Amino acid sequence: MSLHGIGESFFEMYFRRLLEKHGVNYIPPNVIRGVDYLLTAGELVFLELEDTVDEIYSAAAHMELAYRIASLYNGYVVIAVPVPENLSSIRSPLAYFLRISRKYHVRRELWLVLHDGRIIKIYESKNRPSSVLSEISVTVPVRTVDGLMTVAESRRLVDRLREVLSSLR
Amino acid sequence: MEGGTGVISELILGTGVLSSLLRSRDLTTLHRLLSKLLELGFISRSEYESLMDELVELANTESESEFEERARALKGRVAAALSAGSEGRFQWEVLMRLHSLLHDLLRKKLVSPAEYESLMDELVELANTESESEFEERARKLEGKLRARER
Repeated sequence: MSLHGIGESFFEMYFRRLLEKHGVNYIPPNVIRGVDYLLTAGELVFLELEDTVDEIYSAAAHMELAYRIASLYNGYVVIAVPVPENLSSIRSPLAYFLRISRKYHVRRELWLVLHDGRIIKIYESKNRPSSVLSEISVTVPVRTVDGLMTVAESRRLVDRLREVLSSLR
Repeated sequence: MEGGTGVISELILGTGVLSSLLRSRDLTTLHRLLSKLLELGFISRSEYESLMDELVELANTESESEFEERARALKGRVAAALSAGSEGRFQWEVLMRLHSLLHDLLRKKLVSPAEYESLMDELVELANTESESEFEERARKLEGKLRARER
């Protein structure tokens, strides 16, 4: 079962339950401009939720304000989506997210949310992954060059994700 | 009409909302409108800064005829900013459209999984492209390849 394409309001409800179950403090949607959630766990995580992978393009382009605010706090900027059936479909949206946000001093992560309440956090290998929800997360690094992900690295990332997913099943 | 951009343009210009704000000299709401267009990625930061400069000039204008002239010019600049295809707006729309097209080809089995990966490589290259002209050229070529598979 996948949450991909379930509808943003249902995915949002599911995600909020995860936050509450694991005692994460958060500021909910419609409070901070330009982002859905602000999570706090010793570090600030500006998070945008989307229920399909192709919406990552739109989210990445519309988060300029979040990038700028997160830069002030050396914060994380995260886009969270349900894990798609076709893992390779994340390659281009992630590349775009990394490219458009690379001029800001922020740590970028893409979270793939599984239906069983676990999360795969894709983070840049030069950074430390965010600690929030670490008890339910598996971290997968991606190497960036000047803030960009190369085509070859995007393929390696998908191979690693396939391994991680098969080990989780 | 180009996706969300065309809809926004139609809402702001086609309905006369912008003209109405200018006629009533509601510069506060106009300021909010421009800020929202920037926040949502429909105009670029440089376009926004330039429009804000003009808004300041407008606020400083006392003469009725000069105000009307500046207001007309500002309306034209907003229209141009919305149709210019600023980087953040235009590119995400193109990428999203090509992404959906590629996904449909795989779903309909019009490309093999190996071909899909190869075309996805090109989409990743496109997503990594900074230069506007290079982006447009690559996008055109990739769209041509994808459309050819549809036939």
